[in-house]
Amino acid sequence: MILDVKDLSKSFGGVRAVRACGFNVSEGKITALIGPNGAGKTTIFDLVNGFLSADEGRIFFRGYDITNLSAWERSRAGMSRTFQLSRLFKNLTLRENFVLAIRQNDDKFWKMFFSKHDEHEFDSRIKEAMEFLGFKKELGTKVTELSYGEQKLFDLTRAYLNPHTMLLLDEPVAGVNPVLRESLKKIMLKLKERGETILLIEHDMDFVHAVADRVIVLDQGSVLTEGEPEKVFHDGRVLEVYLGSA
Amino acid sequence: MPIFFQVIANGLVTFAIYVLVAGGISFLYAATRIFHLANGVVVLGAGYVFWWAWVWLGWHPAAAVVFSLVISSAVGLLMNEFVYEPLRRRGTKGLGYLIATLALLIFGTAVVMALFGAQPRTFDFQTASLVFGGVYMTVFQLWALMISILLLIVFFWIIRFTRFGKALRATADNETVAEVLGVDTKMLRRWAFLLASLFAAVGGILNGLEFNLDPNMGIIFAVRGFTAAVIGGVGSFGGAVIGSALVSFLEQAIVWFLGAGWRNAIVFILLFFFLLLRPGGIFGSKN
Amino acid sequence: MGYFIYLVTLIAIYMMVIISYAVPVGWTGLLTLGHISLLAVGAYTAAILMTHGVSFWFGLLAAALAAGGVSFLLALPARRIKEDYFTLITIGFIFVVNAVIVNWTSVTKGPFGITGIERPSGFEDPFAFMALTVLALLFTAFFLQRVVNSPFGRALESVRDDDLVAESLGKPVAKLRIVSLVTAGVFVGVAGAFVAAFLQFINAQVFWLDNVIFILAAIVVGGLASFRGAVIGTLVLYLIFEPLRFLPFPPGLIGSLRLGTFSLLLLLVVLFRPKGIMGRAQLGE
Repeated sequence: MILDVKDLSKSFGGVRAVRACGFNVSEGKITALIGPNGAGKTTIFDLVNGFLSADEGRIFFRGYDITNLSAWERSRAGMSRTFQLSRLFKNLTLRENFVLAIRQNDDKFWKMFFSKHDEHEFDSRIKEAMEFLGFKKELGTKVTELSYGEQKLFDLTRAYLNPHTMLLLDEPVAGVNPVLRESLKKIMLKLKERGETILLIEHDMDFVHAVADRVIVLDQGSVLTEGEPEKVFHDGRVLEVYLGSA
Repeated sequence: MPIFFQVIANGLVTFAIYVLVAGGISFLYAATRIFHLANGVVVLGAGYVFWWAWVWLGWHPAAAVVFSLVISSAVGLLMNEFVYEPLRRRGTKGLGYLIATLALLIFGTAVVMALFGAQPRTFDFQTASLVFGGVYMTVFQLWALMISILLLIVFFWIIRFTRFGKALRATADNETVAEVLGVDTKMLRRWAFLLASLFAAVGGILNGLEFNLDPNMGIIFAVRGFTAAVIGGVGSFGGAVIGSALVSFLEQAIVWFLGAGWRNAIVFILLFFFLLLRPGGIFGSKN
Repeated sequence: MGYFIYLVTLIAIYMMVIISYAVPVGWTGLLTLGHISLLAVGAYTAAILMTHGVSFWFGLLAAALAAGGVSFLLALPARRIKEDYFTLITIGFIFVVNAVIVNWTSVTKGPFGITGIERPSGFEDPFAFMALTVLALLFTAFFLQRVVNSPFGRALESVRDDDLVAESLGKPVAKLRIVSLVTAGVFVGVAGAFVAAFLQFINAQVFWLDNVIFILAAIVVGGLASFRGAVIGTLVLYLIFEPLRFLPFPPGLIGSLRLGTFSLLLLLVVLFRPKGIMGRAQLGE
């Protein structure tokens, strides 16, 4: 169990977005978080990676209580995430974006001042990752020139290059063309083969069915049910929550 | 405690003026997500235009007031139309607007300075003094307070009971949803700027009459305006009122006990600690 | 010739401030207007010490430390609050420093200012002092170049471009912002000591609003995240008004002309050419 979320609650104004939510993620497996819009999925992601602080509850990561750690500390602890709408360092090149993900010591002022720095130091590592993930692009490109699909791949590559023990993927195939979708299915499985632990949010049930080892269903901020995709997709309550909510 | 009441009395006019300026900045931020510091230009300009029409051209004061209000509203609307809207179309956020509004504020100040000179001017304007149980106030101060309160009531009524007000609250809450529901946010912003500029203009005229006309006033009012708005909680009606009250009375107390030099400093330190500890302001969320 | 030396020294000092401030503004995305107040802190610290027998060099060190320390305090809110609010605080700060200068008369001599500041021994000659100033400028430029071209500089840029992503990649955003501001503050403090020694007299007027807008305009018009841009911006904006000095303009008018031109240029750049002359980034989009 690499991630253990216990009794998480979060409200905004008067609205309870997440209530007494608890689940865990097993190492080396792909876990999917699904649920209708407004069920609290992205809020949970933000709570796990530290962008939001919970009103109640605790989060354990690799055995440590990280509930009070800030987002950057959690990242250093091993969490890496992507975003629903791709976010880029838009004034920098592809290479510069990736190098920022790889380096973990660039906040050391004097160390950086006195050391020799090479722009291309990590090129081979970056190229290897890009090839593995099927992302073909010149490293010198400005990120603003990327197409939507390329941005999705970029986001994934960046999260992958960021030193991590768990990947949090926020809707990896949202709005993506069918060819890329199929490609991403294969990439997920390849990542699992490499021993990656993945927690993802998705609406695309076909995709979830193809890659997830376990599915957790959220409704109105708490866990409705969980289990293997086959079982969950045939659970009456799950169908109701998706179709019945008027 | 006659000193206490005198301090309050002194503060009433400044309160009346601040609430108009701060209220404008506050509700504009709620409606447009822009910190319209350049509202200070309207405050500044209104006083000078009024002076020009009344004293220099010799018009009837009422005509001068109307003229000043018209010009000031026009300036506010033009700033929106030719600066903020184009920036909005480009997808600008926060800081881009802030640089623009600062540039507008300084530019407006420079224009006023060039046209009217850098020396402060006063109106030859006195009203009778009144005494209430040991506390001195002038007739004008009472008028100023009443005008301000009247405008606030009108504003409150607009926000609560008109369609415009409802549209404004919806947009402040969630602009995308408001648009989906049929609110013409562009027109809404225009009306919002008109209203905020009118309020600021009234404040400027009152300020000119009570104190003086000084080219630095634009910047000073912008700073005091946002201080009051932020302390009270931006976007909150009650917040603007409370914030202005706090700032104006605190200032008066400081002027009385420590002297005029420290007024801006102490108010700012208050702002600093508020933003450090409770950025939402008094009526905002503990963000 | 004397005029030329004067001009070069003055521009060199301005440039020290501007390239220092280009780091938090252009590379870290913090729209701070505190530069003029930090300059005042540096200048007054140095002036007060120097008029009490301390040497210029110690005054310089003290100025750097004082300005750095104050920058640190000013930077603390940057961790918790939104960027627009932070800018507002820096604006308010200008007024606080001004109030302290004008009112703490026992120390700062109030509106009359501090006079009789001496140049460092060996550098009383204007040419020598100019050379020293330019040397200081070159050192500042060299140091800051090394900072922004290093991975640390990239980390700063990541904070500017998207602070949330920067956090999720393990960058301590608050610390980066603070270091950026303090570094700028230290160098501006040094520039302040030079101001005191150069003018040999300082008062509140020296550190007021027209300089605030000049510095901001130089950075934005020159272009963010570019030292060359900052240098060009400074030269262009300063030199367009120098010739007016020799024409019979009423002084009040020149003041508002400068103010008006700088703010207008700033506005035009924001509206039509956000990257400025040769910037690599733009704010707020």
